[in-house]
Amino acid sequence: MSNNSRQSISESPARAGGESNNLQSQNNLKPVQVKLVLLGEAAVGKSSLVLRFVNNDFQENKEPTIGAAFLTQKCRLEDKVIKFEIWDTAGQERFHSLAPMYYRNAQAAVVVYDVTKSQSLEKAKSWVKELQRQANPNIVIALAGNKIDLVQPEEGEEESPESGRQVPTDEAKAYAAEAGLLFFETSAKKGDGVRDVFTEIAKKIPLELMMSPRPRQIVNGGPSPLPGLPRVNGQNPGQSSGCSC
Amino acid sequence: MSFSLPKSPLLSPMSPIMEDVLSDSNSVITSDEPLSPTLQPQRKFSVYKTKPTTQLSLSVPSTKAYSSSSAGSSVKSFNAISNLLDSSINGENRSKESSVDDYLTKIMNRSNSASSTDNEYLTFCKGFIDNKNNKKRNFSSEPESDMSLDFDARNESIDSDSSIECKMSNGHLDMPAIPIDEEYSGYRRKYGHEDPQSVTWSRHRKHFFILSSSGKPIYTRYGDESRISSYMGVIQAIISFFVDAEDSLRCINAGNHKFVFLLKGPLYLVAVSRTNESESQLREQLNYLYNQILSVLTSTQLTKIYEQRMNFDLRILLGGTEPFLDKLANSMSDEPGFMLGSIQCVRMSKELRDKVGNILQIDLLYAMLITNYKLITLLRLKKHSLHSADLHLVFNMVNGSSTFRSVESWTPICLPKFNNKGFLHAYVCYITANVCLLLISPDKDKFFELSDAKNTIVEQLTACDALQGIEAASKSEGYSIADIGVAGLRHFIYKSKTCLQYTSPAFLASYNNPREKRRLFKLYRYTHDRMHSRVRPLKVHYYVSPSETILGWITATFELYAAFGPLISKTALTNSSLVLLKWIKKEEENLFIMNSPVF
Repeated sequence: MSNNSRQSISESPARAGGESNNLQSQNNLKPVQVKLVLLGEAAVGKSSLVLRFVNNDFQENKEPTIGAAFLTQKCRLEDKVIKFEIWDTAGQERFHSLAPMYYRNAQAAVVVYDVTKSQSLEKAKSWVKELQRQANPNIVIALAGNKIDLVQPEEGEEESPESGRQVPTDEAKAYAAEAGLLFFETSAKKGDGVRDVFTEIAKKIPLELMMSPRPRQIVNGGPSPLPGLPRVNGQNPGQSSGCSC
Repeated sequence: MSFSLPKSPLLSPMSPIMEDVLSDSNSVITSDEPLSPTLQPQRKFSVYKTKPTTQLSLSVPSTKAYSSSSAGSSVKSFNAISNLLDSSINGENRSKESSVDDYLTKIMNRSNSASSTDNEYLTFCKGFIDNKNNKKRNFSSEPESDMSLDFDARNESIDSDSSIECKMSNGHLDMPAIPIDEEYSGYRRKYGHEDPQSVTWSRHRKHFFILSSSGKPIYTRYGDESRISSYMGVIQAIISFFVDAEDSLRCINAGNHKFVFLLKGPLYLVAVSRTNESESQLREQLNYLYNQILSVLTSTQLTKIYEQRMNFDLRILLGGTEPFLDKLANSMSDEPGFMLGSIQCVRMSKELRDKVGNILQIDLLYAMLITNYKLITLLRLKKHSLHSADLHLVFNMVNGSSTFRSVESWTPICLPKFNNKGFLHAYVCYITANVCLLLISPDKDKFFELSDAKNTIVEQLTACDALQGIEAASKSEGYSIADIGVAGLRHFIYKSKTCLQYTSPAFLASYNNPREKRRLFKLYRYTHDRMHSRVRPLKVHYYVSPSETILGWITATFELYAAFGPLISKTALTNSSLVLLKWIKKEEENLFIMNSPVF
């Protein structure tokens, strides 16, 4: 099962590229909604990543998120407008049981760890496992190692072994490749790599598949409290992949 | 308890400083041992005990209190264990050769682990009681004393007490290189890294500790709770001594300090204060802290956890709650609402409030607009009033974290007075810079519905200019005493008993500096305590201090605390108070929410 889902993820960009040509002309004005969830251990910088992405801002010593925070951000990808609907979840253990509520219908997930804490990568791995088991089978998962500003060497210097880094890039990269995840290293503080996370996710999600069935959803389900989100994703990727075969 | 000088050959060429330190610490131990009444005939200790069933309070104010209550013997019983622990730790110390930093770390670890319990108790008490002594010592000894010698001494000595002396004698070591445990949250608390054995730590006026009944640290207001686990062990030991006798410890008075205990099933809460607050006021504050914990866990979860595992580390589940507990601890010191069991409303015209109330009509449990600990309006489901204690928790949550400011949040919250067994779900969003909209629903899947409702609410509020109105009202400091025009009146707090709300003017003129404000608040607190004393409650209390005259007046419908100048005559004071009451009556509808609208 998990093997299948992984395959379909890796195939999807090719398919997306092929089909987008005939669909993009009619849909390029309407924003495509992408529901995205951030997961990861407490204090790895999930909220800071979102804050950098949405407000291009950074706050030192941010208080921990309570429950979950909801933010939206529109951005352009080639000729499409994408509206990210982001659930920034709290990393504390007591909120763990609420997580399914947020990733249940998500098309994308960013699992964040802290490159200076090897333990946070373990937590990230367990989140990835949980997502692959319980979330939407076509979910695009990105692994992001945050806080690289803490381990970046001064100009011209080699990264020294005692720089505080506990998770080597290669190790995390290898894991990401094995589990079929996008991989990034980011710094919410300096802004490095943050946009890439979201752009790459947007590229990987088969956007046009989500655009076409929107009217149908309104017919089926009537007014939904989550415009375009809950039902579409549960059904459509499956249907559309059936079509493409 | 005995103290033996370390007999190490390393110490034979003893430096004068070292000698000073050692002899000094020796003298500290004998002179400050609070557990032995024979050594301390002049110090007064009283232990209030009560049988929980009969609620009889027995006061033992004599110096023999300790021997009769036999807290001393309970401590003695720990000697065996602690000696054992000490020797093992000491052995480990000797076996390794380490750098100076390692030594320090070890020393700290050792005094942090539940090693010499008895000595820790000394430290614990001494830390609070003998502040002055410590300070003196700190200044008299050289900041750059012979470090290596000190550490050799540490190596041999098993007295954790003197390790403090060592650390204190090295001024620059006040912040030792201890790996700081940030396992639970990346957020750095203001006082989170304070060294629990430093003078700055013990000098704080009010400490709160929360521990589990098995002695595991859960929370401390100052410092890092994992580093005071030995104190927690002592607290647990003292409490369980009384629990074993089917008794419960309520309060210890020691000099200027009060140690107040609140036992709530698996949790022990302790306040250590020299703020002159009464036992019942401190216990009330501990209750608020307990409610704060319930609000993130629910009592069901709390009981279940400890039923399954007695020694569970609750910090795993409370992670991220510390800022709220800190915020609560701080606001309890300067918000009269906690003491009065009531909340404050923003003064605004009744029309505006009604208009806002009408717009907020959605099918929900509670909907409210709040700003800086003040309520703008509250809508509720019929028959579901909201207790002021729950409202305080809501206010504290919204104000306790900056994360609510720029986003829409959705969080589970338990309101203990509403139902301490289950979670409600709160939608939190700031609709202007200062005004926060809070919608509470029992349904965890309602976020998007409420988010849409918020958009409608904001649209409607903007359409009728109400949004600007409430933003302006929320920005203002409140009304000033000059608006009322009562001769001689400096400040007041008026609590309406029917609405459970209070009103109070802005702190102006002489009270706008924190010290004066705190002094006035202290007088209010004193008056409040006198009037609500369980033994003899008062209706009217008139008190003249060197700087103020404070009137306390309680009737069936209101409580009034008013501050006048020190020289005002009683007739003038009575007349002014009557004028004030008249003004409040006239303004009642703007100052209070008289009829909270329902859905």
